[in-house]
Amino acid sequence: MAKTPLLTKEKIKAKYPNQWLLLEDIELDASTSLRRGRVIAHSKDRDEIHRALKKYAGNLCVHFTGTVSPDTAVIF
Amino acid sequence: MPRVVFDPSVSSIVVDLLIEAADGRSSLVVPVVLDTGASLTILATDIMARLGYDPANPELQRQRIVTGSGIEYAPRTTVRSATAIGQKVTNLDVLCHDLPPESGADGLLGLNFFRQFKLTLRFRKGIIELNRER
Repeated sequence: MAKTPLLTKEKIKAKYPNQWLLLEDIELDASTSLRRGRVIAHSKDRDEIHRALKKYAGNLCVHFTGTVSPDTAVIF
Repeated sequence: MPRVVFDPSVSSIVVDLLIEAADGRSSLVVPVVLDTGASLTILATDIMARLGYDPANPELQRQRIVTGSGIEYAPRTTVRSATAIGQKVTNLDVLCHDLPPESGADGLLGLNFFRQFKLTLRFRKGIIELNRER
């Protein structure tokens, strides 16, 4: 199967809005923030991405392109 | 100087956390909420299992935790290393506990990560800086 293209974080967010992603071939910047990667799984459901984690080895990245709804306050 | 830019209007500040696997051969980057109200760093059980830390191991200490909704108990273990905002901490204690998917994160980056650094939150500019104290 052909690999998906290597995309910057900005392009990933535009192509997969409000989704959980699993990426390989990742590159981080000096502040440990994702700079670019190759999407190997994407879903609105975080559990699907966690299940996909079991299928892949190596250095990976879980990334969420959405934000918490502005009408929701967050406390832990 | 390690720094992360964030949107000051968001409900919570999420940063990338790089965690080294138990065997040292791989790593995983996950989104975590910067939480100075959390004593310890927390990571989802699926994430910890993928990294080989076995949160189901009955021999792990079960840590009592006080949450906004009551008292809970979670397995506590130590990861080889964790890196965020350009700074690496080795042998970091982590609780294995799941946050709801609506949090947009796979865990919390708590005080035990930040204790050896100077953490600066510049809310008006949306900048986080993390530096070693001399």
